[in-house]
Parts: sequence; C-alpha cells; structure tokens
Amino acid sequence: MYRRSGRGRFTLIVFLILSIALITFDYRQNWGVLERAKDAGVSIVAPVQRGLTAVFRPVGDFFATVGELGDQRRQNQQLRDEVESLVAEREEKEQLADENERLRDILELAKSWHSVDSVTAEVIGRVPSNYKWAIFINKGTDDGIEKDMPVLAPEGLVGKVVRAEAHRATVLLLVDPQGAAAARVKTVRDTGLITGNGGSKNLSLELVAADKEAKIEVGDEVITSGYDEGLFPAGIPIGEVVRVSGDSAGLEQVIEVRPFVQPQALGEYVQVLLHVGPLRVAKDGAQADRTVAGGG
Amino acid sequence: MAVFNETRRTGVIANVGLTGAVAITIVMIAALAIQSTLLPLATLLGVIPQVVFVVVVSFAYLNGERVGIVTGFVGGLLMDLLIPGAPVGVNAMLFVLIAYGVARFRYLTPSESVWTPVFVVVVGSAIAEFGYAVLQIMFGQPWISLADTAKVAGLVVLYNTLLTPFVYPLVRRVSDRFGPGRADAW
Repeated sequence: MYRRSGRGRFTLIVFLILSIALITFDYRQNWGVLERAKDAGVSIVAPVQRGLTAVFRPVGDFFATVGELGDQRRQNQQLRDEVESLVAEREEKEQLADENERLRDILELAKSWHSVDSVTAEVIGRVPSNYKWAIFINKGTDDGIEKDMPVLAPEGLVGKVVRAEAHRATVLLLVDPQGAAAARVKTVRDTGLITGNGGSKNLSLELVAADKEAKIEVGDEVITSGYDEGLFPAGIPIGEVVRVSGDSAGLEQVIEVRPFVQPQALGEYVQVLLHVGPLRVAKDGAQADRTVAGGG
Repeated sequence: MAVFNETRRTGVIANVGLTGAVAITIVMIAALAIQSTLLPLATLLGVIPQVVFVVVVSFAYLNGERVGIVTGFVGGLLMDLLIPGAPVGVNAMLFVLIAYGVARFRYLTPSESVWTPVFVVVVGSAIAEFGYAVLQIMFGQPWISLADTAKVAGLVVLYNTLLTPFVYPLVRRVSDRFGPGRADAW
C-alpha cells in the first residue's frame, strides 16, 4: 500500500505547463535550446543503441544462419557459378561506364547519380514510434553527410537525411507521411510528386496535367525526376506502379506505387549520396539548369 | 511492493531521491534504446511495442503520483527528442497525464492482484495511442487513417500486455532497490 502525496496535483500542473511550453516553443521554432536538446537526446541514446546493435546483431545473424543451414551448400555452389559470370559482366560494364563518361563529357551532359560520391552507413536504430518512419545511422557530418542528402539501399531510394550530427544522422523514410520526392514513371515524360502514406502502405504519385496519350501500366518503374528545386538527382529507382486512377477530365492521375525499399525489410546498411539536388551541367552556363534523367 | 512515503522534503528530485532519479533516468534510456534497436526486429505486423510506456506506467503504479509524473515526463520527452518532425512535448504531456491517472487509480483501488498492473497497462496503452493520434491531428501533423490508428492501437495494447510480466517485475526490483528502504524518498 502506498499513501498519496498531497503535492501530486501541484506536480501535475507544473509538468503539464512545462510540456505545453515545450510544444509552443517547438511549434514556433524560435528556441535554439530545443534543437540542442534534440541533438543531446540522440547523443545520449545513440551509444546505447550502437552497443545493443553490436551485441545482438551477431546473435540474430547466428540464429538466422542456423535456420538456413540446410540450403547453405546448394546456395554456395550457385553463388560460385554466379560470381564467375558476374566478373565477366563487370569488366564489360566498366568499359561501357568509361565510354559513357567520355561521351557525357563530350556532349556536356550532367553525370548520373551513380557517379556521385557516397558513404555507406550502418543502421543503428529506428525511431521509437509507430507513426513515424525514420532510422538512425552511424555516420554524420564528420563523414560529409548533410541535411537533405538522399539515402539509398541496393533496391532504390530509402529517404533523406533530416538531422546530421558529427557521428550520427537521422533519416526520414520516403514511406513516412511527411516523406516526398519529385518523381516520374520511367516510360513517360510527365513528372509529379510522390508521397508516403505510412509503413506498410504504398506510395502515391500525383501527375498533374498528365499527357492523355501517355500509357502508364501496372509494373512500370517509377524513378526520381530530378526536378530543379528538388532534393534528389534524377533516375534513382523508387518503386513500381500497382494501380492507376485519374479524374474524369484526365487532368490528374493518381498512381499507387509499391516501394522497392520496404521499411520492415530494410537491411543493416544504407548508402548516403554526398550531394543535394539534381545534378546539373556545370561547364556551360546556358545549360546550367538542365538535368538529365539518368537511367530514365 | 514498493511503499510511497510522505516526505517533508520539497522539490521533485528531493522527493524521488538523487539515487532514485539516476536510476529512473538509466532505466528510461535503456528502455528507449531497446525500443528503438531490438524491438523493431521483433515487430507484431510491423508494430513496435511501447516498452518506455510500460516502464512509465509501472513506475507510476508502484511509486505514486510524483514519481510517476516525473518518470512520464522524462520518458515522453526522450521519445519526443528522437522523433523527427514531431512536436516536442506531446509524448511528455501524454505520459504525465497517464502516469497521474495510473497513480490515482492505484490510490483509489488498492488491489494486490497480479492482474491489476496488466489491466492498467491495457487501458493506459489504448488511451495513449488514441490520445497521441488526437494530439497529432490537433497540431497539424500528417496522419494515417482512423482504421490504421485502431489497428496500431490494438497491436500495441496486445504487445505491451505481453511485455508487462517481464517489465513490471524489473521496475519493481529497481523501485525496491532504490526505494524507501535505501533512499527513503520514494
């Protein structure tokens, strides 16, 4: 049994006022102390996250490996065969990439996002909320990472950096309701805005004043468009079309897109492109705003 | 069971005791790190359990209003600071209110049943999930649908309930260890 403190109600009022004051200051975004507090919050928790990841990830990997032991031998042989053919394929691709770069220089075209410097970072945690889709990574400003830089997985676009400190950063996933990117269907010219709808839901791509003749089909690939004011270079894979709908006048098309990178299947490592915005042509001032839909 | 003693000291830290305050902070940071690192690897249909919330409710249930309020504020604020783009203070306010409610419930219905903490977590989790949704909409944050909120709330309630038999005894041990027998301030 416990006896009730008479000061409980007073404490409640004090902490409620404190909470409301914090919300107000944060809403007005005019109190630098809160920004520093956010940095401190991440700094306090990040070392523990890193420690837990270091301890438990190998344990998880071990159990996963034990579970797959039966398939290992067959997969091993299959992978050896694949490696042999991939080595030959890589040599051919390297030659083509060199040729591509030379031609781009000659034609004064912008470079593809593949040629942008990047940093590989480990995912050390996820935001502890069921209504926000963001991850924490173990690289930050000391590695060249800045706010708004695109973050990729091998399958495609993951999201963008929303907060960067010296040795860690926070990445908002594209599937978050606040996530967005300029995008287009690879097979047509119209561009639009793709937005997130939360964890397991598909993305929505809105094409305004879409070309009526343009034929968008289920299964078409959606990529970043490299819009001039956008954050992402053109041509980064986002997902595939699963449904197409539009208004009766055909002025607007809403396309449902299944993202290539599913938040629950996100791997242990991501790649941060050390570049913000579309890749522009730097040589000729007249073409400075021209962007290239690399890969598109 | 921890005992909440009336104390003549003033101030929340004095009431909790310095050792108790440090213990609460460490438990909160550990819970938050587990919630953001390990539990996302073991989600239930993509939903992460709210272990920080279970810790807050357990502290409030075991130690009364003032400890519950402080714990709720610290836990909620730490969560707010880690969530990008969300207003800071929303979880803190929600956890403070729920911790107070839990402590009041404990005061008004002093039951020694092992099911009471579980019941408190079930009801508290449901209120927290829907309360958070309402506050987010009030503050103009983009929101998922009502159906999704209901699904998330249901799964969080279920997952938090399953975690309670593991979390509650740990919090009780911390309360006993740094509680009135040691610090005379809980």
